[in-house]
Amino acid sequence: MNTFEDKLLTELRTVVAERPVDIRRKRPKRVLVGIAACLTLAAGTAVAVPVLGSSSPAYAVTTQPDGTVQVKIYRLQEAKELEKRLKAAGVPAEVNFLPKGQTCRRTPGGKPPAGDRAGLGIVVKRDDRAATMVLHPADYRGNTLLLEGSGSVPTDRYDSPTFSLVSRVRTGTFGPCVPVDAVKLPVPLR
Amino acid sequence: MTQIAEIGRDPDAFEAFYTEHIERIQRFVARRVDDPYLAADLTADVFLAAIDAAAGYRANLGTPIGWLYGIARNVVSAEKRRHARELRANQRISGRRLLTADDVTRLEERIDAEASARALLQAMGELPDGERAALELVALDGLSPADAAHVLGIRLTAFRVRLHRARGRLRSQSLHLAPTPTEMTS
Repeated sequence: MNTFEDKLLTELRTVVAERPVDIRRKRPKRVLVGIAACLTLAAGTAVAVPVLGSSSPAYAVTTQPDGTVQVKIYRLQEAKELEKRLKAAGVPAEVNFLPKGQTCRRTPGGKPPAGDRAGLGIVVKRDDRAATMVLHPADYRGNTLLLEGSGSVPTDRYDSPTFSLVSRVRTGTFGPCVPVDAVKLPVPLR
Repeated sequence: MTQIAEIGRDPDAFEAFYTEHIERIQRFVARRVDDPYLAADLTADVFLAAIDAAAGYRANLGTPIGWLYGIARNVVSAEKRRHARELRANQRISGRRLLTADDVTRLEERIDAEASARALLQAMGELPDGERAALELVALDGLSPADAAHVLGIRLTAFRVRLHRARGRLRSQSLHLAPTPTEMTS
């Protein structure tokens, strides 16, 4: 059980359950977003960094009772602060937020850790508000999480998310992030 | 059979629909891409698009499977136009992030199993787009001509003409058709 197909079904069921019945519910939903953010703060375990000129945090890093670290990214801002927060939570990380259409090129590029090809059990979920990752600090001994975001974040609950996140786990030597235009995806079929 | 309109509203109706079609859609995708991570993303995208489009489904536009294959075709074509993996900007679920190492192995096996279908698709690459699409849906994806005609939005008679031409052209180019995928007979 709990295969890719099962997990995908769970995510899709959530999508269906959360679909708006009527677009006019737009405003109340925005209020709900605010409440959710406040609740996160009230819980006390989250460290949220308010961004100048904005009332909501750009991200939240929470160490959960089971020892995993939950990272929620609402906007691609405050990369260096997020990096420090992750480090403090036991996940050495390098975070880069880039304009849409760009990606990091690193020379050398470092190596993926041996074994798990799927990225050390990083689980990323995203909804219309945030991308959520769950990390296991134990996986990051000797490894670094390279987190790369590009684009921007929706300003409204009903906007489509407009940023993408790419996470890689690397070991060995890797160079700094040099932003380059994202390369074309090789297409197997004409 | 699942009421299509319900799958965009009712998680249980969606689950029934998903369970019925996930295998076919994964095979459909595996016949067109050879990267398990991309296949996982596209599988998620197909069902997300179906959820969004469900309210617009009309039975007179074809069977649910024809409708879903039409969506899958659009999703895969959109991917081919997309600049890069990193630009998968509107993606609400990242399929690849749900993959474990075991899943990747299974997806790779599925992709390997569809290798001959991908070779056939490549051989068909020489055909004009409309004819290739017709042959693809019938010979590779096992759709009935009526369903395939719906997917392409053309009349059945026009579809049969295209199919006939495509087969004739393949023969005249003496292209060898790879072994037929097993799904074709089902």
